[in-house]
Amino acid sequence: MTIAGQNPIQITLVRLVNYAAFLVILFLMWAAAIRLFSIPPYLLPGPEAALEALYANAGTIWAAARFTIGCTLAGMAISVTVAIALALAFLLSDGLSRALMPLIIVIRTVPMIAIAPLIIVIFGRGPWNSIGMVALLTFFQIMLGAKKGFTSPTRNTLEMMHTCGAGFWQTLIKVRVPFAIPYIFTGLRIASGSALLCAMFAEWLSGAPGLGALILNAYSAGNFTLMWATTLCSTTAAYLFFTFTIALERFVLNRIG
Amino acid sequence: MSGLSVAGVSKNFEIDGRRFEALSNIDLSLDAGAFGALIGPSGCGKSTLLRLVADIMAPTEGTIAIGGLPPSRARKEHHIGFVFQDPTLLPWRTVLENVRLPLEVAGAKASPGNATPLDLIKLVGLSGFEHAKPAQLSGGMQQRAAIARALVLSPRILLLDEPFGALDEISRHRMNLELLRIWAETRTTALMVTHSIQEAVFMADKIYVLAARPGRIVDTVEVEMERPRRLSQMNAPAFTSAVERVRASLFGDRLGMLNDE
Amino acid sequence: MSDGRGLLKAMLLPGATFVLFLILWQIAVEYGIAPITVASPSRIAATVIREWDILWFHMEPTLLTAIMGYLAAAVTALCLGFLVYSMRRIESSVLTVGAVLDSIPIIAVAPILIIWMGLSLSTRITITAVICLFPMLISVIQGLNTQPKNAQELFTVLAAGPVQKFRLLALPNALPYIFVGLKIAAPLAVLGALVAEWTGAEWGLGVFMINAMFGLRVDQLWSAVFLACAMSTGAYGLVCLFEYLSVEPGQNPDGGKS
Repeated sequence: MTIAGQNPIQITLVRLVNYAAFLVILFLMWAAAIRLFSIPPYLLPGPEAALEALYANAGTIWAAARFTIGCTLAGMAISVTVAIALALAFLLSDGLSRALMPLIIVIRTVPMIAIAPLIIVIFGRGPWNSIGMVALLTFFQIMLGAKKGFTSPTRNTLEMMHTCGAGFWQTLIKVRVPFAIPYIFTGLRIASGSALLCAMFAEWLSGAPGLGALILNAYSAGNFTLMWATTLCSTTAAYLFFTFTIALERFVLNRIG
Repeated sequence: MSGLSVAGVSKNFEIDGRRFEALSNIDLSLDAGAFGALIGPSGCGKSTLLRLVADIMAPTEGTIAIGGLPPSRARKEHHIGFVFQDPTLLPWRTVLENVRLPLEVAGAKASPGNATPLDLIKLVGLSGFEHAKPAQLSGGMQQRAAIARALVLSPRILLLDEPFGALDEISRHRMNLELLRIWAETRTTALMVTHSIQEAVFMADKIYVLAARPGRIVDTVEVEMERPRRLSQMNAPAFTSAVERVRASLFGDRLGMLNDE
Repeated sequence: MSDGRGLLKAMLLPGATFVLFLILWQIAVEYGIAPITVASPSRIAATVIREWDILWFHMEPTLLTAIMGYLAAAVTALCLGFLVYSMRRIESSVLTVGAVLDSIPIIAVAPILIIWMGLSLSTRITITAVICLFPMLISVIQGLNTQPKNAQELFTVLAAGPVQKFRLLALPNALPYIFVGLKIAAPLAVLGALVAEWTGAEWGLGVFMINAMFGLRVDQLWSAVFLACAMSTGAYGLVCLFEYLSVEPGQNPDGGKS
């Protein structure tokens, strides 16, 4: 949900402050709830214990976070490239579009994450699972955004370019691409909301050394404070990632006008 | 005691902390069963005035009486019919269900002797389309359904906010004739906002000319033409002199129209 | 507007492409071009038919979890949405909380809920409902928020009470938006059921899938995934059918369709 007209730094700060405030309130309620209901620590460790675990394992958590974020970025880079290429192909060939678009619409109804076990069996363990899953998940949203963007110039605009003597590629570069950029970034923003979580999911199943696997291992080992601490970090990472893409989208939209 | 009376009405808005005077000291009156028109440049507050009469907003100063009742009472007792600039039909309801809407809302309070929805649909010329959905109708037909809806509770006053503004000139002439025919059958008091001088003179008994910033009445023009009105009357001297008078009032220097922006 | 023949024609080309894809896939596996972990379409079909009893035995609890979780989320979203509609002030708080909760990875939510509620069907239903809730809630709130100004003024002139305004204007107007959320959430319900089973369950399609994965029983894994996809697409299609039956075509701009 972007706020039109504000500058990206403002938006980022507002979201960060909101989040920080939310965390503070959450911590207070958390501590109060434990005291009020005498909740035993194995069920719900207190915020202090979670923060302690955070400090103690900062190195491990950070390494895992780097892995997850790295895989996510790599996956998104791949999907952006393929998505834009495919959108271009659809632009060039209407037949291709009519052949593939309905299939894509149907595929979109399947949550990519459900295919994860299949991906893992094919690619084995290691970062390529996470990267592949993220690429698959984010691909559709970005491709649809690019396609919508490339075809968004009005008929009058295209006729104007035609009368100037511009060919397909010139029209593409001078008109379609600038029109498409806001849509592509919107697609990126929507896709990135779940990209990081998807990477974590792939790690959870495959065991690759990211935040997902860390959560699972902590849970299996009964180290619940670590699990909570990692959950907190993962949530924050996902929120920050999403905030960053919102700001990026706002930045690009403001530049283009 | 019937009809419409507006006395000393002003309306101010607060925009970004600054006070904006939309209407200043408006006086107007319409006899029961008369047809009035409000005309003026954009920003003169004519739509605002209409909404004050309809009790969608309240005036900052002054009083309004519809058939002797304050607008809030008139509205709650379902004496007001309003036709908006766009037909505002609910797209999930058929024409018949749309026309019936005010009856449903009023529930037990609907008084007997109201025209039935089917009669009104016939009156506005939409027989055969009772079970059509709005999306299947043209703009003019949708607006006719909206007029039928506005009349279903036999209101004491019919308010119209540029109802035919979206139509082309030919359709507009046709709809004007239709509206006059329908209005003649029901004979409610009517007040219509328009931006077309010809439409105002053709339809109304009395035309109020407004100026902008602040919105105020600068002239009242009585139209002495016999009813039922016919398009051929648009050549008559009574018509052309009224048009001239309205035009002079609208475009005279003292209105500051050329000083806009 | 859309005649059956036109629809059939439009499905011809993609249908043919899909068949072509299946044929190429089959050939790739038979000639050993594809990795050994890829099953051919014929083997998948054979496995599904041959082991249908077991597969259905596992599909039932997954379906049950998905449906119950979906309905629970829908009811909650409608109630919360109505609450926000009646008290506009809480809207941004509700949305912020929802957004943050939505950022919590499912893989953390699931074990946490299991710690709190133990391993049971209601836990799995809760996990599913949690995943479905936020998309539904956003669309309910958004739908109830967008009422055309003229329509609101109309209801003021008609002197309609707040309940009448909700029943006759806000709710029918919100339906297309609500359906966008319902459509997005349908596959999520299937996913939620699977994730819940992956985290801890004895039976279910998710369990079957994971066991096949760890045991490297390729055919069974592909069959299970295929059925999961079919459930998911079927769920989406069902909601689309409901939408077609209850919402006026062209009533509102739909943000979901590409």
